[in-house]
Amino acid sequence: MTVATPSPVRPVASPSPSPVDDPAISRSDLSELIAVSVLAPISWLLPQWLWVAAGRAISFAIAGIRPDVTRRRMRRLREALGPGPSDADLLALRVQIMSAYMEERLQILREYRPGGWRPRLRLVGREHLDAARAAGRGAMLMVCPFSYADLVVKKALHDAGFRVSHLSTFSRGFSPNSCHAWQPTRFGMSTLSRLRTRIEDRYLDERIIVPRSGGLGYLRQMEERLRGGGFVSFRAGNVGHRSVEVRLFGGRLALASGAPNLALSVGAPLLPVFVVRRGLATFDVVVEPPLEAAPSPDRRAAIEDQLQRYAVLLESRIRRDPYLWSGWYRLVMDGAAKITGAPATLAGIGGGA
Amino acid sequence: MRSRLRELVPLSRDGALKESDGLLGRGIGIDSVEALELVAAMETEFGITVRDDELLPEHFETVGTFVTFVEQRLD
Repeated sequence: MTVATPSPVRPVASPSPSPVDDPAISRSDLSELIAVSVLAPISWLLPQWLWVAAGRAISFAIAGIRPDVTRRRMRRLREALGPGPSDADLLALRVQIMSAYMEERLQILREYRPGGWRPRLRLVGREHLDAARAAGRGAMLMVCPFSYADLVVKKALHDAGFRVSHLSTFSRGFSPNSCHAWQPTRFGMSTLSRLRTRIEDRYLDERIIVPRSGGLGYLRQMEERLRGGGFVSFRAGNVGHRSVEVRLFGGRLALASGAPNLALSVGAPLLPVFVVRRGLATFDVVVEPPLEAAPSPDRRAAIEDQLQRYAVLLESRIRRDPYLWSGWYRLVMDGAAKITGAPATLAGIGGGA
Repeated sequence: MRSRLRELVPLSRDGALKESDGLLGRGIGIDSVEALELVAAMETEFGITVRDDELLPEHFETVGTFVTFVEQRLD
């Protein structure tokens, strides 16, 4: 069942009309700069098998330094997961979520070292991409909002010979301001964010950018790529003009409707893409079969149905690897958790290695 | 133009459109793709051309701002 809008949605336009109005730098930028300064030598000098331990040690330290935030996060995890997991389980999950995010940054920073970062990647479900290509309508790739996914999916598709256009906002990148507070800074945009996008762009055919103005021209670009049989990827999230709230873990999660709507409008399949970690530096990129939409004369109802189907798939993947999903804290909970039992791997969180 | 809009805008078919009705993301609540389709329909209907850089969200804020936007192109 989908929940009717209105729903929380992050606007596509920034509050500042132009970069000139942005603050030069923020405290979060400085924190991020310190984080990068600590992580960069680790990524270059330590072997990868030590990254998990380093990431966890740093994450435990951060969790200890910020007990108020840790308590809030654990409370949210408790709301979503119900009474099953112990406090120790929840703390371990909280730390592991942070650690996975940190490790993803280590992977990106390692890419700057000569020789780059060389994981073993396997593309599963390639037949769905081939079928879309054969049908000549391209495909919209709905990439899971998981740690590791942003870089790993791009690399895997690139290595498999797929040229992908990726949709992202103008402020995409390392800058914490661009990710969370939605107030870009000049330093964040010009330097911090570029640390991430410069690496990602190596594996993309192009980056289609939702501009600062919120202008809709990028949609024509996406439509053109799809009609030309191309692949357009985007990260499943709630940045957009309209969103649909889907049921997830007994709560509600907002998902933007624009990209699925475009796929439906063009007649291109909407293919969910997930990342599964199989080893220290071994990942599967799993392309799922096209998300079906219930036949309906009402396109909005069809999209809501399609996104709810996606939520079912997403929940099953999260249950398998709960530490990969940082979206726990964006869930809107209606009250007590309605799920029964903890995610499969919560009892024995093992670093996903 | 308003009657054509009424036909094209999702969820507006059952009620009267007012100038002040929100269009993109609020009020009637069309999304970006529906906004683009609206523009395409207007281009076909009135023989106008809208450039990519003209597709700014402020033109889709309300029914009134969108009508004004199309009317300016007709001029």
